[in-house]
Amino acid sequence: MNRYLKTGLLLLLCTAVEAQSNIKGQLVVSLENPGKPGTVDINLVYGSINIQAYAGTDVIVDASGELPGEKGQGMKRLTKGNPLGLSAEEKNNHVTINTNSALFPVNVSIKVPRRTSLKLRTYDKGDIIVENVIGDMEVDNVNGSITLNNVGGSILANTYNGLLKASFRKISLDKPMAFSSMGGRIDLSYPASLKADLKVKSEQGEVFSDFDVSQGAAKMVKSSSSGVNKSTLDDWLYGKISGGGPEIMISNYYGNIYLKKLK
Amino acid sequence: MNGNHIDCDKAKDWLLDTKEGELSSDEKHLLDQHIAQCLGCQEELAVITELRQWLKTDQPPEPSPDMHTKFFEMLYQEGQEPLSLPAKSTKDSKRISGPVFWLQIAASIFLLFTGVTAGYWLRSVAAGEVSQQQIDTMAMQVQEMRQIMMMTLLENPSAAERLHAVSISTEIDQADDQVFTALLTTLNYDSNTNVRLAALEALIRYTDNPKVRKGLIHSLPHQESPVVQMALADLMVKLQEKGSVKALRELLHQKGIRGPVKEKVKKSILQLS
Amino acid sequence: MLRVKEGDLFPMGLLFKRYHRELFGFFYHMNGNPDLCEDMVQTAFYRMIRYRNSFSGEGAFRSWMYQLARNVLLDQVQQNKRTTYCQNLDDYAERVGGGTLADESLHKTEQAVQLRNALAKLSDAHREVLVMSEYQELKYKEIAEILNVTEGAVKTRVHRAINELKIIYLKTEHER
Repeated sequence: MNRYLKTGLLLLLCTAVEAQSNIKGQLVVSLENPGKPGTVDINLVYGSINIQAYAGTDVIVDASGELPGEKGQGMKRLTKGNPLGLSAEEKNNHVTINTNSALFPVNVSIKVPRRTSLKLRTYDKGDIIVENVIGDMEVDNVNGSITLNNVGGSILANTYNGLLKASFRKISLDKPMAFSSMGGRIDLSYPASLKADLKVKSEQGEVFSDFDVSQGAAKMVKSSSSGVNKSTLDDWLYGKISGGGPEIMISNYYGNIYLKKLK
Repeated sequence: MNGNHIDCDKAKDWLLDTKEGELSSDEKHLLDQHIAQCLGCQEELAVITELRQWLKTDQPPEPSPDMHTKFFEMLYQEGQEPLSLPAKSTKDSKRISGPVFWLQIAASIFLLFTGVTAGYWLRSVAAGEVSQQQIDTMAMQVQEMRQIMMMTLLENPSAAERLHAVSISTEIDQADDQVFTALLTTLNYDSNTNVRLAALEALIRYTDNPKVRKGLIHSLPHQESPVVQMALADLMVKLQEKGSVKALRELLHQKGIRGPVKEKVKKSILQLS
Repeated sequence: MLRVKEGDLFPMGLLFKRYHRELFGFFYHMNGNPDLCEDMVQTAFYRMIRYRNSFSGEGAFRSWMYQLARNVLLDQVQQNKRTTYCQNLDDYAERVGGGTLADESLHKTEQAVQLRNALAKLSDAHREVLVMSEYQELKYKEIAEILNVTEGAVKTRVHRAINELKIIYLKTEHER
């Protein structure tokens, strides 16, 4: 019996709405074990991801996209099948969502139970927003921003071009986190009670914080070539907030880094 | 062998032993012969086959991934126990159980990494006559535990746990080749950019080790994330690692390399040559 | 395995990776409660680590593992002063029966529940050898080593167990 392999019961409502081939689809995925936190895993090529916590136990996926190609000269295009390619697979509380986002942008909004782990990626034409969710999150964007609002858990977020902004709930943060960006500002707001070890590096930007950061010594980069030992100061900045705690690693190249107290 | 034929009783008996390896090939042959001629035994065979099918309808579920974590936490803690010490009088072992007990409480593994050295000192003082060899063995065990812990965590599907593993590695006093290899593997192949970046940051402290430096250079062409590419290029300049120029050039020709990275790499090559 | 005995714990991790699933399966078929089984696997491995000096190095590691596992089972039964196996049947039926399942899997579920009921009717000794031989795919010789009886005795026991189960099976088939 394949009950643990059982794909979640899916409800697929696919409606072609309006002209311009704007298509919408919805999926409702039940977790195998609603008592335990699930994981939602989505990997887009083009499109945005919006995750909201809600009081239910299912994962509700709403996707929309505009089919490329000719406009129907004032006529409605009748879509067949599932042009968004929206599908989901559930295994051991792990929900993987698939779309045809490699062909055209698909914007995905997902309602998840409050305690849910997330693995989100998109490459282009969209931002990632997560609100009110508590869980381990792996969030990657390339050409858009990442906004995490009122979240909790362990966060690993990386974007290449966009702004990275996160604010945290007032719950204990006990796991390491990491934020990195290439060209964007990183703006983090933590509860005033934060205890953490900091590792920060901004190549071209400045680092600002209203937390009391006791700065540690910079590391030495040791090298030895042809018998000559050399040490250079590493440009990572190390510090502790309120005596230290789980590690927060923040790094970017251009743009400032802000580490704020949650007001 | 009882002659060339077997009766139904014998056949029915053997029918139950048809699993791999229980019957000899001669026995199987005799059994087949008998079944071919005996309707009663054919029916019996059908029932047994059905029965085995029926048994298959109940397969155990997949155990939860927590099991692994719990086991390795336990193994780690066990590694702290001087199990292989010669048996002592109970009184004696009670005396040392105090600090050991509290240490174990503190041994939510992550805290313990820093406490290990102190714990060992305490224990060797308490145990008194423990020989140097035994202490060495114990120390080796701890080293192994730590590494198992780190390696196991590095295989964890959760990026948060892998990040954790990397930060544990920075607290290993005397990292050896295995640790370097694990960190370099993470730097090259981990699916998460931030975990790779953390591995790179962790490796900075070992740049005086030739193996690590070589590994870092080899890692250059593997990197696809701009953030890691630039951080590596930076480090090469800091290290004045002229051996990296070739790898940097390779990176420059990589498909899809992004503008700012290209600038940075070019600059780095200039600074190094 | 001898490396473990000598106080080197490293192989224990490898042994766990290799055998935890098998052991989990064994407990599962013996008591039907996955959560409990996970704890029991943990206990069994804990004892393997603690009592690794009792592993003589003669005979297979697997036999030794099953010997310890049987003790864990016995302790569990004694602790609860009941045979957990039967107690969990209702839970089980509910668990596999719950949710909306397609007809086919419903049929399978029904079969599995009947199977559990049937296995529950066997004596502990019979069920144990049946699980070892049919599910764990242990050879008579290995089972003999684990139970510390002769191979002949194991064979007789397995045969009796299968025949007993067969009678129950034919009866359920008949009733359907």
